Amino acid sequence: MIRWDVLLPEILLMFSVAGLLLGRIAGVKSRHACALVFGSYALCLGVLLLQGAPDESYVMWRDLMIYDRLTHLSKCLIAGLGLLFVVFASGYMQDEGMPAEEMLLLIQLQAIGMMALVASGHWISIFVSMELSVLPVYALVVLRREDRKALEAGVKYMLMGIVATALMVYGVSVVYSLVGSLRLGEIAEVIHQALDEQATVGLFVTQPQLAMAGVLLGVSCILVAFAFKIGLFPFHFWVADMYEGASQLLVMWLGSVPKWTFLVLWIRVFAESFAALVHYWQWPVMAMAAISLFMGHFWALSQSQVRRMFGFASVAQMGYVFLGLGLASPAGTSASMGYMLGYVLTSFFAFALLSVLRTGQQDVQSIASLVAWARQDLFRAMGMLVALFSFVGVPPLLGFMIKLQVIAALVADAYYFLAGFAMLMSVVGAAYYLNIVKIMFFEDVSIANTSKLTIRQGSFFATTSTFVIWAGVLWLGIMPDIWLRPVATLAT
Amino acid sequence: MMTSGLLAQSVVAGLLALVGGAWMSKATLRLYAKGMALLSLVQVFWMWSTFDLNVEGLQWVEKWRWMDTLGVHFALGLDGIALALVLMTVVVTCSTVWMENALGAKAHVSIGVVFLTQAVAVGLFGATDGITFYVFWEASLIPLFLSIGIEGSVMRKKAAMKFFLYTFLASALFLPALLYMGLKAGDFQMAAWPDLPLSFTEQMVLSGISLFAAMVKLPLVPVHTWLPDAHPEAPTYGSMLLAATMLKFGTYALLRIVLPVFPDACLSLAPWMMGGAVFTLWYAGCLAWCENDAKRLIAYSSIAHMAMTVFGLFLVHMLPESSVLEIGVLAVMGCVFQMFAHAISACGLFGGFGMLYSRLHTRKVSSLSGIAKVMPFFSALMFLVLFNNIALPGTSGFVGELLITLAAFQSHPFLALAATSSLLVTATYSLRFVREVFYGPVLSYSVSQLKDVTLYQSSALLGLCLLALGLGCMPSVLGDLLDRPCAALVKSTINYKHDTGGEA
Repeated sequence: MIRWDVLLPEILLMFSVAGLLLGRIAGVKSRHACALVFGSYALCLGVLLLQGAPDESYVMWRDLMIYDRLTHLSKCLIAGLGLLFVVFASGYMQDEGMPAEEMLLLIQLQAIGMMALVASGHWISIFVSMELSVLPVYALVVLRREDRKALEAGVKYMLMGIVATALMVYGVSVVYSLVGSLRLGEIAEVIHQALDEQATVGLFVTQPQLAMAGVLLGVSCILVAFAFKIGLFPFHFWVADMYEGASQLLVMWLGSVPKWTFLVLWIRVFAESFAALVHYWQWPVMAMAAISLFMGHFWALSQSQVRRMFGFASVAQMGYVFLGLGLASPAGTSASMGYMLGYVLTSFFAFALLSVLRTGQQDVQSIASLVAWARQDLFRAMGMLVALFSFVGVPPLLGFMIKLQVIAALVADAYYFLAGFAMLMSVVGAAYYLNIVKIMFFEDVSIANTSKLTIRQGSFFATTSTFVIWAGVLWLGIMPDIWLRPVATLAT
Repeated sequence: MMTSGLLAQSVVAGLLALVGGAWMSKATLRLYAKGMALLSLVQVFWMWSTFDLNVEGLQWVEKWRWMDTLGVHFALGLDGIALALVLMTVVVTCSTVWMENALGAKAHVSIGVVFLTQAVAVGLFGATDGITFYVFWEASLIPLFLSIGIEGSVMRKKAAMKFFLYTFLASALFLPALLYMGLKAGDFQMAAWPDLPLSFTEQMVLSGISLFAAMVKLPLVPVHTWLPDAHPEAPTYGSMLLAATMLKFGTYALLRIVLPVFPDACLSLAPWMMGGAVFTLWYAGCLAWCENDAKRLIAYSSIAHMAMTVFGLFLVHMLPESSVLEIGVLAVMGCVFQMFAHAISACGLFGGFGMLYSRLHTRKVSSLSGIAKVMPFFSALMFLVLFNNIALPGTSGFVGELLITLAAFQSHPFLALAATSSLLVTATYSLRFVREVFYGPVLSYSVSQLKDVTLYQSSALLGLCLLALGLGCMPSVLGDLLDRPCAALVKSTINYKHDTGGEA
């Protein structure tokens, strides 16, 4: 039986995509396009909240679609942040003279792709939905065609994306040729049997060692593809370029929500499907995470461009997430999910605040041009202060609470050195995050007067949304149990 | 709800000042701050009056579930030591608010920082859960970082960054250590930790990490270098908060975590720590002696005074087994007294010097001279504060020094001599300060134009002086509070778990 009600959010978004396309032909104003998209996200979120989290997981079309609590939470996150994104985007695009419908259309398609991705339990649906969630991004990054940086970033991101997808497809095909299934659940079963030497499929019976080596080859290809997609060392080089090339507004979306969907995919693939092979993939993951922490923080330290800095910082932040995932324990996985949730929200918040800033005719480029932001707009500057201290991980903010979970998971599993290392690295992070605080708040009046910063006074909705996220980030930090408990139940 | 009431009031007071400050005039804000400080003071006195001296252990215990998955609680509770330190915190807040010209040009930032720091200090002194403790330990950095950076003087940016990064680095490893103990005990309540079966190596590693975090906060030579940089750049109220409240966090971590949880490691480390403390006493004293920047001078004096508390705490391990319970209590009690007395002198010195600075705009000792001729009343009050700093009999500083010295002479006369003779250095630099700043001829025009302070302007200084004299003459007021918790602390401090070669 197919339950259409669980597909309602995607269907609603598809209708809005159709509406946007029709509106483009009819020549509807961008204001109305924004309203349409806003409405579709609001309906989507409403439906999701009305449905509530499912008590047990529900599988459709032979695993092509899984609907469980994790899917539900992820869809809520996508719809909720999408709603807020449209609010910020409408003002920004009017200012930049960007084609609003075009961008919203692409973002909508990408959101549908992500919603399908978080519900995938089969490699075919993973592949299709992942491509759906990535292809629009290539176009999004180069939306400002006259900008050479954007073009460079777009080309880099596309090439990287193709390589990663090719690697993943190759890995999957190898696994498929040996296991004979593309369903994540069945793959897990076969690998489990093979490890117990009770396999009944093809090469596992005749040449078990060769078969296992083949599976490991496939798994390592998939692992590398994941590292590419999420931006882990040594496959991170595109991240900073993408952050710099894409506009402030796009980073707000692309730097946050897709990361969460890849985390969900990781949990489905590595923590569940390849769980039996944990001893093989654990060490590479931990090593990549630790090196990402180190390199990301130190690279970010030496940047002078705001978005490049946040790009490298995100490499480091992904290091914390994957330290938890590498533990492959329920505590570690739930800590990582908490970390990712906190990071996504904080990053979304920080870029929402940055998106109102301009120097001259363009987005803010250098960190130095943020000078004396606090003098011009204390409300948003204070929000940025909260976001930055949260990134550093100072209590009692959200950033500390999520870091605490990861460190606690590491200590509980006796990875003391990694725990200490992760904490020490956060001090490096403090150096460059607080540098921004210094520039925003501490400059002399004489230097502040040279500031070329202009601030777009956002709409009433944008200000309200800023306040809502601000309050949310503070509240989630002070009352961590709100997200800790649901996330812990998800991981088990 | 006693402790959390005070905590909540401080947080609300601070946030209201920060948010509402933009719409209030400066005079209204000052009035608001004074009202809020008085309200805190009333609360503390009420707590003091209802505190049951005959009860062993914590009072007004509050416990809320905070992070269920880890078993972390937001837990507060006070014993005598904590109550004395909370009292100290509120006294510091009152004196910063009342001290003339102590608050910076942006009054709402200043008042916000003052009350948020009070909130952090109350939370930290009252914390009974390890993670709650760490949250306040680290949170203390935010208000002071902003205060130095926004309201500091010329080199403020560098000083603020150094202050934050130095102390943040030092306590980075503290969190994994606390988590280790909490997870091993299955309980993050610090009261459960002394019973942990920790091996000697575990104790050494964990105590090393915790000691390092505490030593930087204190600070002890050679990890003291952030403090003399932070003080001159900080605004007056920032210096007062930093010296009077935040430095105590280090000693408090020793009291609450290091000494009771790692007795064996502390026993082996005691000679080193005491040696370090004696060295710091002399080294910081000598630096203060030759320092020309008045705020750096007071900063070095703070370092020396805090070293005395470390000396007192680790002394417990060096006492003969037969008399450790009686004499150890003296040492620990002296240490808490020393903390209280130092808060008084640091507030008085930084605040009093801030009053001079706001009139003359110089920090150079050499460019000041003859203040006593033009401001006799102000000078008299400053002399009293300095006497408290030197620990002359009749002042609160004397009580602390006396108790620690008494205990030290029982066991190690030479070590005691080395520590107490550093008082000579203290006296030397303090009297040099008196001679150069207050006496001598009036050399500059700006000094000659000074007017003496009125009674109202000097109310905070006067209050601090009276407090110093009052505690000096009637130490039992605080002593009654400290008696039982200090005895309990000594007992857990010498509760050795391993035989480490019969040193005890």
